[in-house]
Amino acid sequence: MSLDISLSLVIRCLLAGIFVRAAVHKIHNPGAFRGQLKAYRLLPDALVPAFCWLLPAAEVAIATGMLVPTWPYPPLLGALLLLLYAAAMGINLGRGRVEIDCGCGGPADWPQGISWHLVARNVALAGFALVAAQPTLFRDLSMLEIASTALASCAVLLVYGAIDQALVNTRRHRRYVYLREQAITESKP
Amino acid sequence: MSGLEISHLLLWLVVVVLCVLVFALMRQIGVLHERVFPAGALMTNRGPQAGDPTPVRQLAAIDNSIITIGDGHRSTLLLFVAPACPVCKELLSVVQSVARTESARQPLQVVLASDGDTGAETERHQQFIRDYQLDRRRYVLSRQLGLAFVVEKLPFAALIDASGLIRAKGLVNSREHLESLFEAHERGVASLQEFLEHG
Repeated sequence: MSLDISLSLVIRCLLAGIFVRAAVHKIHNPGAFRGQLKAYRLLPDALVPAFCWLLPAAEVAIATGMLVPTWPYPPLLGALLLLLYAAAMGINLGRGRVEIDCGCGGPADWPQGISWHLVARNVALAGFALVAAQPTLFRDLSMLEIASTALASCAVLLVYGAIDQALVNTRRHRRYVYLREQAITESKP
Repeated sequence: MSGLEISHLLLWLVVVVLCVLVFALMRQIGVLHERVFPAGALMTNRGPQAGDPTPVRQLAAIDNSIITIGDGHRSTLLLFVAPACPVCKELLSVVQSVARTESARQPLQVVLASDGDTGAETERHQQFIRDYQLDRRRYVLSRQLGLAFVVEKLPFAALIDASGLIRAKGLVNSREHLESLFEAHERGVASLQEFLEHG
């Protein structure tokens, strides 16, 4: 069974949006990204500067290729990259290093620590990417279908953004509660 | 267009509008979290208090140059960090940007301090300095300094004015905390606790 073109386009738009945002975030603040990459402690130090531009470049390339619906490779590569990131986070969570910044381009400049949520998110996204890499059924879309595909893409991207923001909010709130408790214990004589 | 098509399109439009609203709400919650985040750094009751003179005036940096605190024309931001402290690393880039902003208003030197002046540990600090491209002339390794300020948790900061008086100090976890030290200096409110009591 092959995947319908409209569904494939929605998934491709979502992934393209995610990769573009991640790349913009990395390019915007290369110094911070270098630190984040280093903090993962997976690459030899000598390779860090190379990967600093290699990863965002790969993200931009994948995002661009994603928008060509006849091309099955960008979703495959995207899935690979997402799983690679998930593995990097998983290894560091296994090492007990929950505090490092994930560097995945979340909202605002608030550091988003790594967590199993993010690993699960990446695996789920990789799953979607693999779906988009399936053989696609090409057919002519009516105007109505084009419109609903475009609107669905917008909706999916916005929902993704909202979930991302919710994860950051939760983390921020936890930090606030922790700080309050510290303040209360500290003010007791 | 048939009625079914129109309603289909209409529904999609409503879905997108709702998604925009959910997204905006989430952002708003994020902004609110930022606003309610404690405005001041957490001050400990032990050690020298705001208003007291600094217990240490001269420090030897890791490259053996001498740092003077309260030299008459520069304030000093003393930040206690450690290579093993994750929040400290997050704070390093924040410190640089806050220091840049504050330097425009008053002459300021930022001194990073840590303990562990023994062989193996010194190597970790050297690595830390290289990784984060820190200034070796403003990096102090001294257990005595931490003891003098009674630093219990990291990252801890103390703002000392040009005359050598401690103006504000406390546990700093975020940009807001760090900025609050400077604000405290200007407004005369020393800490989060003091702010809660009077505010």
